[in-house]
Amino acid sequence: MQEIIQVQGVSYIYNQGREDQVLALEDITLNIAEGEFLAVLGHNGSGKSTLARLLNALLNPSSGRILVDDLSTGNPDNLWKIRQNAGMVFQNPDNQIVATTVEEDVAFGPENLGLPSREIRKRVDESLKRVGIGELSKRPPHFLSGGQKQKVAIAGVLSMRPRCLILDEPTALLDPEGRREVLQTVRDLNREEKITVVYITHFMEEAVAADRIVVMEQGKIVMEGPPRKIFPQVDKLRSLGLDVPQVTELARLLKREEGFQDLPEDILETEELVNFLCSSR
Amino acid sequence: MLLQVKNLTHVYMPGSPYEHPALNKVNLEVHKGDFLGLIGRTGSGKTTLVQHLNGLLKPSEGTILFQGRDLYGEQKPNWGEIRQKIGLVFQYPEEQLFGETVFEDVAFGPRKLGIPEETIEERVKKALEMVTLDYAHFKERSPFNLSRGEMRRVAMAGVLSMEPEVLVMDEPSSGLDPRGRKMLLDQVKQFHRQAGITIIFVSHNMEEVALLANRLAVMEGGQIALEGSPEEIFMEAEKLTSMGLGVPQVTRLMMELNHKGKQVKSNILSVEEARQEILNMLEKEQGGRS
Repeated sequence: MQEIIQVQGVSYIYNQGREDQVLALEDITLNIAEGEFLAVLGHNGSGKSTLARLLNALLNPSSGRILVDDLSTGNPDNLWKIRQNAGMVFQNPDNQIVATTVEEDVAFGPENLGLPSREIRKRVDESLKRVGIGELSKRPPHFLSGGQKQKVAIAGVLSMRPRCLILDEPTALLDPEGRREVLQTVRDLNREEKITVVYITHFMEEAVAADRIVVMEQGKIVMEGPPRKIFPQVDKLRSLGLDVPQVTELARLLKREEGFQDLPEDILETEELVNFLCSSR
Repeated sequence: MLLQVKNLTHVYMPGSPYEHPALNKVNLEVHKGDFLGLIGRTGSGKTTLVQHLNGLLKPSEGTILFQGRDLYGEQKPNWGEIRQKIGLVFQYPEEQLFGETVFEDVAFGPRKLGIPEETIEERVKKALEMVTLDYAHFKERSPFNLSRGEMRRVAMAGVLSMEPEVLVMDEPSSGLDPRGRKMLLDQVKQFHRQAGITIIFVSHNMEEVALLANRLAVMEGGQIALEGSPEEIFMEAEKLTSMGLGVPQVTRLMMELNHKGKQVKSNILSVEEARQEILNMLEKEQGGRS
């Protein structure tokens, strides 16, 4: 499979050379395949957001190299190409909305690319429709719900026609319904448009949808693999300050009981446990 | 009765094109020693409601009684005293820090109350201990160089230093990671159990409130849609889901088992309860067979 993002031995130090310097990332190597849905987990301060900012060339590695579609983020000539290719959505929707109507906000990126107005119109309409908020185009963004605002932010990134979407805790400030909406939108973009997704979160149940999970701790990658390999490691995840889905933990407890020897260890969703309980007896 | 919300109605920007009824005849009672979880989606009216508890918003109709005193009657209450007794921790309180040092920030409230300077230090120390920040280590530090979780705890200490009888917290765990969230919930539990403070805890996360609160009030569209003990509220798991509120994953598991015709209680909140209930279910099934 083609790799769209290559992180090669990257370290990052904040305030380098000063007394208060902090090593935020230490010798990270990570390849992300085109079309992959990668979830990055870790508690606050583990280095997740630093990694996201490096992928989008908002920060430059202190050492090592990052390639986005074979372009090095360290070369200033590549900046605009990289940011167009790898769009970023942040935690707080209120900090990334700039215009007074939804459609103007989404048009901001393509306008800066200097595209003809007909092309801008087309991209704005397509992007809003793609995230399912076409009917909100004339609305002032500050009257929207948190989930809708994040969809505006995602549409703004889509209007740049990126191949890769980097989301830094996009649901941390949303209520459950808003979280569900945003995650569903991102999953659809990944499946239907084949957009590569790097999804940073500390909500474990959101990571269930990923192809692969990377868990970070103190600037390093400490676990890596598909959800079914990661989640059953309940104790290890706990020690890293992360939760596990309740059904995964429940399955693990039940497995110790008589009559549950056949229960798989890698239960992630309620449906799997329901099926087991209803079928085998 | 400590607090009594009576027919509280609030309309934002009345008479303008943006007129919006945020609260519609809300009635709610809070008793001394309660731990009330106030749950609802964004926009359901939770924040509007709690802002009436200390005079930040005035009702369009209805009123609130605190220890029998009408807060919005003919005679204006002493809001200084009310705000000392009903401490309100806003959403993202860390954005409201302003002191040059942690000490100055936490001392601001008690000083405003006219508390003698000798006892201020004691209050600040006690408040920082309640949020498990080491006094000696933190008192001289700038609040702006702390982590988000620490900043939030300093802001909470700033309210606790007023020694309130009721602590109202508006989505205090929003944006924290699981570790920060757990620490915060443990602390709030201590405020309630050890310091005996009545708690009103606003959240959209059913899971975290269900295990702490003795009573839950669920808001929807500016009204109280459900009210009762957590066990009672979770009997209505289907309704909660249809209101866009997440129920704990094990509650959902029980609902799905019910749908498949299995005899299990749906008001299950914790993994341990779920394990027990599933084992009971199997035992009953096997008992029936033999």
